[in-house]
Amino acid sequence: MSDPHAQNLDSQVNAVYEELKRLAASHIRRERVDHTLSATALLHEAYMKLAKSNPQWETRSHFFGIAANAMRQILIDHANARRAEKRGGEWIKLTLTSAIAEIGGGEEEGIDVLSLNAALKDLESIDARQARVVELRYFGGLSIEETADAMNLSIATIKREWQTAKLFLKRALDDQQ
Amino acid sequence: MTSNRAELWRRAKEILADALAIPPSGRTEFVEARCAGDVALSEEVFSLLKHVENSTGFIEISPSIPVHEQAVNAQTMTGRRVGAYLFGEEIGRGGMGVVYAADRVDGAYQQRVAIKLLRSTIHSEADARRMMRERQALAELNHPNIAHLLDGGTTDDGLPYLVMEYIDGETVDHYCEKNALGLAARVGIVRAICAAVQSAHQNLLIHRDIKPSNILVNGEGMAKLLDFGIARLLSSDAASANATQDAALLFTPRYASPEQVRGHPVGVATDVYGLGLLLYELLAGSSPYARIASEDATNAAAAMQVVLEDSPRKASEVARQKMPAFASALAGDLDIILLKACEKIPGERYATVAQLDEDLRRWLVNEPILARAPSWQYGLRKFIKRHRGASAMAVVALAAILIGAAGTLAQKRKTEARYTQVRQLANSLIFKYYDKIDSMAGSTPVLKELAADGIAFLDSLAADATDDPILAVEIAAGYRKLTEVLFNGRGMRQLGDKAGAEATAQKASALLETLLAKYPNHIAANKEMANLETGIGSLLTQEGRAKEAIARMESAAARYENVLRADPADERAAYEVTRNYIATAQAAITAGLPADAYLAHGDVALKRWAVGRENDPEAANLEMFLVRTKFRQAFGGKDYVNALRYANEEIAGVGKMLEREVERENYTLRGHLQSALAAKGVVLLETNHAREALTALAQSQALAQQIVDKDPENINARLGLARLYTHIGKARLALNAPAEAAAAFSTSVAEFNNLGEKARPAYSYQQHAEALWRAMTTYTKLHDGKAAARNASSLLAFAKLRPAPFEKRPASDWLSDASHIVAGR
Repeated sequence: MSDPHAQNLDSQVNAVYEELKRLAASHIRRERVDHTLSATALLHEAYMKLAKSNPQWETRSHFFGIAANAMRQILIDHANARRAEKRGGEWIKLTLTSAIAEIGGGEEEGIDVLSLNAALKDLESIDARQARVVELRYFGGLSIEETADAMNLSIATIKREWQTAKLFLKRALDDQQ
Repeated sequence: MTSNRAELWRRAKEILADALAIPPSGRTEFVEARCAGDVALSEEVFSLLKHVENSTGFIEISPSIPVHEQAVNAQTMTGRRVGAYLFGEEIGRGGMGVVYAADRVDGAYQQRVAIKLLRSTIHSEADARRMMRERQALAELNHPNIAHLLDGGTTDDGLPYLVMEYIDGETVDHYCEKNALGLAARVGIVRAICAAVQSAHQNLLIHRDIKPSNILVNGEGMAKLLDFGIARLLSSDAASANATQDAALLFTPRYASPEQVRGHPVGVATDVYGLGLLLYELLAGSSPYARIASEDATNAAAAMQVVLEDSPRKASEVARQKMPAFASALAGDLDIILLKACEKIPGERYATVAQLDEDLRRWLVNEPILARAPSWQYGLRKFIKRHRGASAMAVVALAAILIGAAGTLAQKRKTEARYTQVRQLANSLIFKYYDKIDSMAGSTPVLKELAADGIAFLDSLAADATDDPILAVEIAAGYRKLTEVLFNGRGMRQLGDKAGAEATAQKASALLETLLAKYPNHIAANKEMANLETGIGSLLTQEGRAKEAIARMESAAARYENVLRADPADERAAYEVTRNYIATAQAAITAGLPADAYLAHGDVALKRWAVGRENDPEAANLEMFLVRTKFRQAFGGKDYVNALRYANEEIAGVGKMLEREVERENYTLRGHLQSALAAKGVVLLETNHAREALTALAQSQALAQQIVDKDPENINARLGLARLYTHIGKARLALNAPAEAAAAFSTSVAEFNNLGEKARPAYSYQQHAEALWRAMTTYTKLHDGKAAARNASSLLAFAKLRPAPFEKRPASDWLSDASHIVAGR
């Protein structure tokens, strides 16, 4: 813990986490036109703010690498809050949907973020590197190439990890139902 | 426990990933073979494979959080009075606020107005003052094509509002569509908007959000630009220090310029981009970005990414589907104007709106446009310079435009001088840039499009070439170059379109034969014919038609030597004849014919040409080509001592070339290194140095995989990779590791299978068969009857489909081995 690099990283993660939370809250208050708050849009916005004030982000993938974890945390917080609200009946309702469901219109092919998180934690326990690929791709919105760049691995490796991780997680979610 | 699970998963996912790479029909067999009886492992893999079908879109798109409207929405203003205005019905809604129709009711005079209620509140005195100042500047903006700002203020709730001229009209895109306006009328409307924006720019006001929904056309056909400066006005509303950053985010993602997306300062060029995009959509009927047009990029982030990364498509091509009536008129000048206005880098757009307007004027009256003059060389050079980061598709867009424009011009034959210029352009495109694009990874789709456009262009020129020898030779040269692109690439790359290549070569040949019948001693025609014969020879060699190939290449060599006798200083001919001798030697070696004479000629010719070229990479290239050929001869003659020497010589030579900074990304060179390492591995294998062989083969395999990853369409690289696994299997067999050998042979088979029905050279079928046979015999040795039988029946099926290689030994022997195994079961 006394490693200054690790501390620096911690403070970076915190900064991103706080900024993302602040932005999300302000969007919800101001109710932007599109009525959805895309995780990647939020990350882009946070990046533009933080990158300007903080030149410590060496590259875009460096930032997103850190932000993916913060985003994951925020989505879980939201999902937990929403679970509580179901009882309380608050005025803002949050559901996670994949953009595919949005395009398709009515059909709600929603992914339960808490179940997904549980499955991802399971994967983490047996293959941390692969779980990280999912975090960057799904929560950070990074492309295969960007993920390869952020993790310093080959594109081919990331592709293999991503394809097989998807099946691992899909199986976990399908089995739950 | 956990470590057991982790270990199981590690093994399962390797097999799973490999299984996913082959067609679904072969997966069950493949997984069974790889799991080799490990039930827990195969159960794990199969239970995952079950989920493949419905996992396509699963977690592919990042999550989003819908924010439900209720309770957050502002109350309606309809019926309320604010200042001198009575709010009527809501007429619009956008990112910045809600727009109402309203009437002035203070009795002074009757006036219908539009009131835009802005979204955010004013926080401080300073904010209010700044907003007032901005509003003042906007109010002074008086132009017939700009919706006039009349008034402004703050509601009792503290929300700022702006009162604007009420326009009874419809958005410009609907207006154009409804009235079925022609091309010129649409350009006319945009020119009116250009004039309005230009006048605002002179007042130092930037619009920042030009888009179809911000332009209304009234009953008299007058276009009015709305919301001038609103984004800027809003930028001063927030109290936080982040004010300008907020402003940067106030744009419509699909119409935003790259600099807005990046949060960089906006300027005149931002509006040039907006006007370009507007004109583009009005003329082509869709967005220049395919992912936006197809609604792939649905959310703001995706749209922003498209704006930053995707190259705009040619307007005439988009129009072909959406606005077919406009397509041909767009090809050429308008395509160029639109692309220039929509350049990603602000500095490369029109410097002012007036310049854009001027080019539109020129287009309307058929004058040459300003954007065209020097831009083709410039544009391509620029692309080549930054090709590492840029999307390769940019060059297609550019090349297609240039060639398309050239075609139109050729038809019109406006002036001779212009025509010549266009010809040169096409030549440099086909020759100079092809070579550079060729060695870029991932450029195969670029080549494909470039080739199709190029052939169409040459066909259109060929009709005029009958009485013009110089033009005829140029066209033949163009055809030949494209033949290489299509099938017979000099480097490691080709598109695998054999039929197309043959047809194209035939066109060139017919053209030159007619010419040479008239002028038998025409030097340029003889040289070009020699080039073509060399190319056809190479094509025939790959087809396994060695004797015909050698006849063609000998004829070519004779022509070159004749040319050199007439002009010993002709370096090109000296170079080409060197290549020719080496290629002839290659063909002879392949066919098992004597090659010594050609190699000797090659040595002499290389020395003749390479004088004074010690530092020329091309000389090094040619020398490596000769070394490689000598290797093949030595290897074929079982002279392994010399073969190893030549392989090492090439590895060292190519390695040295790759050390040069400019060649780092040269995948053609990497391909050579990869095959030289493979060659070394094979020689070592033949001389019973299996361990050293495996080292070289592993290095080669890693390189081949890199090349294939970069460009999965590179057929030669994929064939090389497939073949390597066979060699690796042989090495492992020699090292007494039959199980690993069997796995390598299986991988080799899988890699060959992956190529599917893609065009590939004839020799690869025998290699494919060999992989199957080796897998079969190795599994037999391992007493895995099932796997052996599987490979045996695959081999039999393969032979039915591709009988040619099996007509002689050794493949005929493999076939009888396979029959035995199948019969024995």
